[in-house]
Amino acid sequence: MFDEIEKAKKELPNVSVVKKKIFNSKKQNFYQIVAIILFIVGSFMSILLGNMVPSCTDTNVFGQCQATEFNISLTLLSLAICFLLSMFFYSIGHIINVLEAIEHKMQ
Amino acid sequence: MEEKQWYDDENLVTSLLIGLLILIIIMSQAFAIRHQLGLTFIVRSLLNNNSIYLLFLVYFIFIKLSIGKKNFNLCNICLLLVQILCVVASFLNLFQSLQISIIIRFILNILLLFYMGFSLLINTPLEKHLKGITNISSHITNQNCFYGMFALAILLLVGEFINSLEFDHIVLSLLESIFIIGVSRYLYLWRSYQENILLKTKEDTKPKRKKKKDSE
Repeated sequence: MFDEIEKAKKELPNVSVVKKKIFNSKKQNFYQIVAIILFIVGSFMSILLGNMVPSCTDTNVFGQCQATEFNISLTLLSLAICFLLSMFFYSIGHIINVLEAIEHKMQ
Repeated sequence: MEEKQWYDDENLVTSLLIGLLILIIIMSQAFAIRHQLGLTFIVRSLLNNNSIYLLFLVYFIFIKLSIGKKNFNLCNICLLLVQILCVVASFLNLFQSLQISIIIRFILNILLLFYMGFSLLINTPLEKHLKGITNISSHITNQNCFYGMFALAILLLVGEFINSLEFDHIVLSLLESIFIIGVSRYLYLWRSYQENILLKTKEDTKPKRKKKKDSE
């Protein structure tokens, strides 16, 4: 199986190339900055949410919770929602960028 | 030629891991139903443990498919991100309820994260940028890492036994320990495979250099 993987796998891009792509790209507009901030804040919030709403691991005879643990499923769910939301905002910003570029060309 | 043992066959190891993960998920659901737990409890508590197993299951199924083989490096990075989340979760678990098994699990998750980085990022551009880890790991061999993980998995099992001796708990913690050993074995096999490739390429380049020197 490893031989097949070694033959088929795509190489990861160089870190310097990725850095260049991110930092040398055109100026990001308001929507894209909002999307990045939303994702960073959202990911911290989702970890906090998982800690604030813990899941029960052990109950006593009366059904009361005795031991709790970090709610990783809730964190994953909120991370996914946050990612989708920030992607939505980022794509709106990208569309605006493209439309602006077309307008410049037309002028 | 030496005969390959079953634990050295990566195909069998990954298939066993997939089977084990399915068994863990089904067993935990079955125990919940046996205890007549409510739907909210199943969603809040059982999905909590199973979400990580589900992600690992998706990873192992994915690398069996051609699309996963193509994007193997990307899958590894996703797995590393999941493991980072696991480390954060186990760290915050320390504050939720301090128990010996939770402390061991926290240490185990950190070491598993390092082992994942150590073996899955080998021969990738990211390896050069993580010089700190590679410098530390140059003193640690692949075999020692695997045996260290093996010992910690057994220690975790003992810690879980100290916590509770209920049948459900024993079965699930036993399966979890086997799963950790299986994942470590998978990482060990990938690392040794990559090390073999590196050795081969070094051996191939040596005679060429010798020939060049002789001709000069």
